[in-house]
Amino acid sequence: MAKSISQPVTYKYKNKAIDNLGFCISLILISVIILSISSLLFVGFGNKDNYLSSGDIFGILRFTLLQSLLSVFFSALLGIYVAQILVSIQSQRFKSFFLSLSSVAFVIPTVVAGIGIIKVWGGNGIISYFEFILGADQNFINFYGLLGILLAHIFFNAPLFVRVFYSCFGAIPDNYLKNAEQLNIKGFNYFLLLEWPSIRHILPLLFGVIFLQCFSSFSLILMLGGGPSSSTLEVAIYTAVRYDFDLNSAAILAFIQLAICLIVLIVLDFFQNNKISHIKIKTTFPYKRWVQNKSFRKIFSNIFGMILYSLLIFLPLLMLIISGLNVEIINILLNSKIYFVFLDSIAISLISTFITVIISWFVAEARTNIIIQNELDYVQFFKLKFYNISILLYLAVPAIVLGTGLFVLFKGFLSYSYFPFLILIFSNVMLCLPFSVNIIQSKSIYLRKKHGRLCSLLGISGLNRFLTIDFPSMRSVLGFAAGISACLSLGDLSVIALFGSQDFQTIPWLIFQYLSSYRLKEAACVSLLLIILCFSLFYFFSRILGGENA
Amino acid sequence: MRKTNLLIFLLLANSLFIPLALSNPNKLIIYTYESFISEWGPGPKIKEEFEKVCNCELVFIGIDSSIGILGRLKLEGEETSADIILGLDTNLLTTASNTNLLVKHNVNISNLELPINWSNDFFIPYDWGHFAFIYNSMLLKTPPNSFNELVNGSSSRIIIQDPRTSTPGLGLLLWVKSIFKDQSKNIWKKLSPRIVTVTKGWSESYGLFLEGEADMVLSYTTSPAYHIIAEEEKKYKSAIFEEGHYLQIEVAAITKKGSRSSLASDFMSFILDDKFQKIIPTTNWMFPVTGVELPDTFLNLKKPNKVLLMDANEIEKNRKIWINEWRRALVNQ
Repeated sequence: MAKSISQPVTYKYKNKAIDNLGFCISLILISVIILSISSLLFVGFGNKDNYLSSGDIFGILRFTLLQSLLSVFFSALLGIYVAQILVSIQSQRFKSFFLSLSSVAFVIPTVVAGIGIIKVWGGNGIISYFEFILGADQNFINFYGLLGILLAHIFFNAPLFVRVFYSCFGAIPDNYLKNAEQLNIKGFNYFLLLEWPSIRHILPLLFGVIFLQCFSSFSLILMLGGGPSSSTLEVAIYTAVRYDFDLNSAAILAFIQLAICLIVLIVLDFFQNNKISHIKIKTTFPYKRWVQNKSFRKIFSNIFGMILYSLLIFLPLLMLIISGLNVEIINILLNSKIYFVFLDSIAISLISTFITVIISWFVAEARTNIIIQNELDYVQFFKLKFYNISILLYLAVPAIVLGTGLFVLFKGFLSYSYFPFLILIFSNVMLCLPFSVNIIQSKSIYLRKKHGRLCSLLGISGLNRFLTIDFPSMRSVLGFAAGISACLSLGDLSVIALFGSQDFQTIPWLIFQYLSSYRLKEAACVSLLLIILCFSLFYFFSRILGGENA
Repeated sequence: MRKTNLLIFLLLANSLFIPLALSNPNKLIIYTYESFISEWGPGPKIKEEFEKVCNCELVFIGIDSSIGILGRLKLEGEETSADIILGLDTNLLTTASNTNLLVKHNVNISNLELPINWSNDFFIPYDWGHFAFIYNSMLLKTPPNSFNELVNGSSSRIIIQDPRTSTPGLGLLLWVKSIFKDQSKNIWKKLSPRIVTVTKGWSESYGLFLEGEADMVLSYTTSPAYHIIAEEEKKYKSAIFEEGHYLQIEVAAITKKGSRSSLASDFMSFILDDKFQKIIPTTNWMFPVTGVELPDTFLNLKKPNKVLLMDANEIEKNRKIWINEWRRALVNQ
């Protein structure tokens, strides 16, 4: 099928610079990761009697794989379900509010999110309160354990799935929808014939991102996991670095973790279909979505889906908002130091976002340049795989290993006072890249297919083409990528925690400070402010920068 | 976009000038844990008091945990910018002095008033507390009176911290070890069904406890003082166990770099000064190490009859074995 429409012409950006730049960026990312881990191998501290037997490691890995695969699966399932409901809703305003609000869930610091989830599902949470009203003597649900971990991971990841699937489903051409209705294609067939092809090309990368996030999740797993039986390799790595100063073992464990993640990514990659011919172009943007017949069953299912999603994502969020509205908020708002922390955080987040979006655009275009060709030679094929892995790999590296490694590498070169600042920006960019590239990529392929021929016909190329042709259509994804990056950079605590700095502070750090000195109310207030800030940044980037079509 | 660029420029420019400031000779740099230097912690007040008398600038650098301080020092080695490290606890003493990066202090410690005798040439204690289980007295009317009762006779659900990642977590491990010795593994197995969860650090545990997720949480005997003084909330109490309570003593030491000037020594003496010690109770929520006047709330706190503390060398030798024993006991239920 693909052969008949395959074209000998490729619609590359004429400018070779993008290819080279994209490749260089990927190369730098990979080298920094490999170098920082390897550097630990050369700094031997402590006694090297590693107290984890291979049996222990196997047990830990089994659990980690189980929880992360289940988390990805359930988050994706919920994501598809809710995205389906969302495309059938007419109100644009409601949809953009819904999407912005759920994207906030995705960036809350883990400890805060953990407390929000516990307020709903925990032994003393809302759900158990209802159980009590219904006459239960004790809780039906033992929340701590795999269930708790899954609920938390769904809370974090389902919103991203919803957002991405929603834009994929929205891009299904209208004539397909009309045909589907004429042929009476419904239910599972509808999904298989229309929706599945529209999400198939992004699934491997998206699954990869979420899988790695769940795989390397750490404090949340300990908090909700109910004991050391739900432990991840990251805990062992953390202990090796922190308590034993056994950096060699830490590096080895980190490499084991990388290797496993790599295997999973490669397996996922088998399912990747990069052939451009599978991506359909939607040429019209109707104001009104082709409305399907709404049966009673459909409406019921929609309501059920919304309730489920609200329970899992909005309710914990709502609980956090409510608990943030306590008396302390006045003191917090009157405290000028808080504003400095917020300004520092916003500045760091904006810088990281700016760098992230530019880099991801380069990488995405460079990838598209390869994907767009129908026949890949080996060099191109491996280059593509290299891109895929380089942008994801950071998620598989334990923050403590990366941070310590960078510290060892740059020791003596940089002043410690601005080192944390640089490292924070760097780690933010690395953290945001997988998401941002993912978001920009699908649009970039689509635009290339849509505009490519026209542009080569008219002879528009290079920067000219980007500014006049591609950028206006790309604004929406760039805006969304920027929104996600800005929020993720605000909420990231991982690396800064290791170094400390008297020069600047971040909001999650402030929350951590409050939490570690009994001040839970203040922590709740600042979390609320963080939620509001994330929501505003997200809204700002995806609506104002991204234009009305966001 | 232009505004963003300006912002970036300003920020970068700002960060490049900071190293110049650091080279000030009259500057004392102290590595400590983050909550010590928070706005409401002891750090800012101590800085103010010390700068009044020292004709210098005191700089605190906050690292995420007390164990992180030692890690940072080890990584930087001889080139460290720290003059003093402040915030290690007694369980880490051997590990820390084995680094050869610390020097002996020559401070007069005759005014120390600790529950034990202090004789360490490298470290000066600056505060201390007992580990204890905290409960809500409105909900739990009959708390266990002994560790034995907690294990065998009680149905209280508890939240603890992971000894692999947290100082109090390790404290509890050693507490159990010093009471039950070889029986520790069985104790953990018996306790296991009632452990709601094991968190990475103290703050998660305490947060969960305040949310009502468990009857008791591992914390300090001084925790109720915070609730009474800062929140006027009297319902949180510590359960006193008749076998005794494990002690945590937090200490400071001078690094090799710090030994080059007298400033570090001055600060070490200042730690035992009344000005420093008076700040500790209501900011770090621990007991002071000298006989300074205590707030009434601290005087009224329930006190253990017996104090437990293990030898740092023994801990260093056995920590991995004990942690592994703990983990296996909880995993194979």
